[in-house]
Amino acid sequence: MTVPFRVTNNGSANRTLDNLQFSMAAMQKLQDRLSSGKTITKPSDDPPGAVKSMHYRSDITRSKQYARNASDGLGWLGTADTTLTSSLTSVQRVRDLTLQGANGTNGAEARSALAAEIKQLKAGLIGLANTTYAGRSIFSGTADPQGQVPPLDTYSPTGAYNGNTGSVLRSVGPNAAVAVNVDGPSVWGTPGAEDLWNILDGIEAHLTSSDPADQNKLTTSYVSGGVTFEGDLKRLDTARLNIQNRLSEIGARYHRVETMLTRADDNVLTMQGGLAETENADLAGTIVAFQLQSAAYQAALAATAKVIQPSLVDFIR
Amino acid sequence: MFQGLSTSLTALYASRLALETTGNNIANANTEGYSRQRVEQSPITNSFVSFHGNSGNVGVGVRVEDIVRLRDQFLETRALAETSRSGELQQMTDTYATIEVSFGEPGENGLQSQLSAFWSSWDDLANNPGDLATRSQVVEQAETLVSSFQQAGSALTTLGTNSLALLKGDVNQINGMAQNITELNRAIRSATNAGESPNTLLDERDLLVNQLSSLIGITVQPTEANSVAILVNGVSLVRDERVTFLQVDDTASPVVLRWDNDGDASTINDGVQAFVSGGEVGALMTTLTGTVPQFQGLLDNVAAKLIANVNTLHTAGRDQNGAVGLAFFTGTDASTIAVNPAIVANKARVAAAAAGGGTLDAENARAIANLASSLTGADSDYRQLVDVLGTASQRAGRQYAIQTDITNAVNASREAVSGVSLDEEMTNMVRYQQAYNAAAKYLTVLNDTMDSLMGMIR
Repeated sequence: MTVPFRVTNNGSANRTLDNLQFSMAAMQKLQDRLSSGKTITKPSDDPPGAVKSMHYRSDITRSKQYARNASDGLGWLGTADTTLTSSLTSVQRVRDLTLQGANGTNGAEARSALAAEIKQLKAGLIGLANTTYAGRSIFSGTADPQGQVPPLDTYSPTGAYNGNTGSVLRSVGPNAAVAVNVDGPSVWGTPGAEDLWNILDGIEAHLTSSDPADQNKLTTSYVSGGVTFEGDLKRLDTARLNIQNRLSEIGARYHRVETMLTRADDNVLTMQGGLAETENADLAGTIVAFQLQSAAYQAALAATAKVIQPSLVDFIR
Repeated sequence: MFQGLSTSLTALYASRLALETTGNNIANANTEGYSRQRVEQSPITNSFVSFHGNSGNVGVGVRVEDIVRLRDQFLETRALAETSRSGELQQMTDTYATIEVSFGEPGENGLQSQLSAFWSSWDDLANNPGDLATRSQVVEQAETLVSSFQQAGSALTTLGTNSLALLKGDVNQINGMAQNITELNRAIRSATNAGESPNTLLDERDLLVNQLSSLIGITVQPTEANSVAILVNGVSLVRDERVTFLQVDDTASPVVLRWDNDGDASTINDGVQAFVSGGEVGALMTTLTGTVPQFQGLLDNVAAKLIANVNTLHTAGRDQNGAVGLAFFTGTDASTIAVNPAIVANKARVAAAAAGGGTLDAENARAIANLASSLTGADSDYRQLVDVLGTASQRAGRQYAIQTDITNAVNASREAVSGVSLDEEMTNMVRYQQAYNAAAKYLTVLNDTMDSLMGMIR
């Protein structure tokens, strides 16, 4: 303010008050920053900053959700991985037993013992195919066999499939969805036509059959009803390869989801840093500014106390 | 010789009056609206042609012409305009601050956080579609979101209601002040016509006019006999001793101000519309007809977009029993938005599955959750709203800060002209005291001279 040409007592009192007020207001603002720790408490403090901080907040929530989705997905994929690994062991055992049975030196009794073990292995494999994660069957696609009345298993003891081929997807990043399931048919084969259970049933039947032609079907191809079938062993190998392929596919997806999880967690940290930088007060800077302001305020107070009092009244006797 | 006696008498009178004026100035040093006064003196010339030489050229004393108020009319006019602007900007700053508080951004409790939580709940549902609890969670979160919308909406409505009440109070006050000004006009006119200087009344009226200008933008026109007319956008609120009252017509939407045409305050919608600008009333009218509807509209748009986007996806999905999804939200704007009661009553009606999906399909829920990242969705519209609000509020705040400086500067200049300086009054006091003493001394000298003259005769 420019000093007017004629200075009056009221005028200087007003100006002094205005200046003190200004000083106080500046102190108040700094005090608010110090006590709340934030530079932006309302949009008008910094409109672009406020919008940025809202962006950060919603992105943080979103990334945390991606991380949660990914963790859930890892649970699914991990369970599928363990299950398929165990299945492979069982299938390998079936292969060994079949090879043993195809060897012509075995008597009928020995073959039926082999068949009995294969039957057990089949029951075990169906058990694996009914594996659940968090109460939900992981190989039944998006169907809900357990929710039926009466409840069903994904694979019945005879090997009938009660699921579908739907994908279970998890959002693990912006526009990044990963299927965290493999449906039963893609692992165990198309139901009714060529699935693992058919093959196992065939092996069991061929082992127990007394007909040498049936026994030959274990290793050599044959024609039945106009359709040529490969030997049981070859069909089993195909099924085993299929499971192996699915397993490596699951491994790849597991790795991808894991990467996305790490990225989401990193994003949360980065954005929390960004949010803090946008919103939070620079404590050291604010404290220094506050000290300066409070020194200025005290100086103004001291000056006011000195300046306002004397007037000509004091000097006329 | 005898002339000298009356000369010294006029000098004594003038000095006494000047001393009294000084005393009055000192007494009113801190009175709001007081303008310092000064005695205007002029010499009394001798109208006689003397028989004795040249003594006719000597004056015969001093006359007090007037006691004038010291004011700068230019500064006074400017002060009115600046005070109006200050009043308006202060009110606008308040309005924006209220709106900002009602949105609570940026923060954990704002609408943005509720939106984010709502989208997240859909992803949680997608992760576990078989559990009814996750569906309930979605509905709960939606209800919270809805009440956040309604809260923000009702905060704006309340702001409107409060502003209207404030406006009515202000208009009553304006009418009362206008009435007072007409009364002062009358008193000032009589005093002026009687040849007096109604300085105190003039100060009182000027103070009133200044206070009036912080409520409403006015222009002041001097009329005859020291009266004034007060115009609001060219229409007389006060002219001499007549007043036309302002009325708030809240039967119209948005609210309008009208000039009373029959002196009857109970009929409010019969007069012509009054257009005002500046002052608290100007700001309140802007709030009621501009700011509040603007932000209500923006908030409604956000709600409408949320409703449309979610419903489009939700009605394309299938619920837990395989039935086609219902509209998830009912209503069309921020005040009517609600979660569909049929879904609240039966959480299984939340449509998580896509059409053709299995019972545990959750593709639809995932799609709805992904609306969070939509660049054209409710979130982005809402952020834009906050941007508009922040920018407008910041601008109002800055303008107010600048205006405060300007108003203070003008007031300081007015004070410099009209304010009482005690130093100056003390100096004047000494001066007039000396003048009085000198006049009294002159009287004594005259008396002695007279005695000498009379002594000659004895």
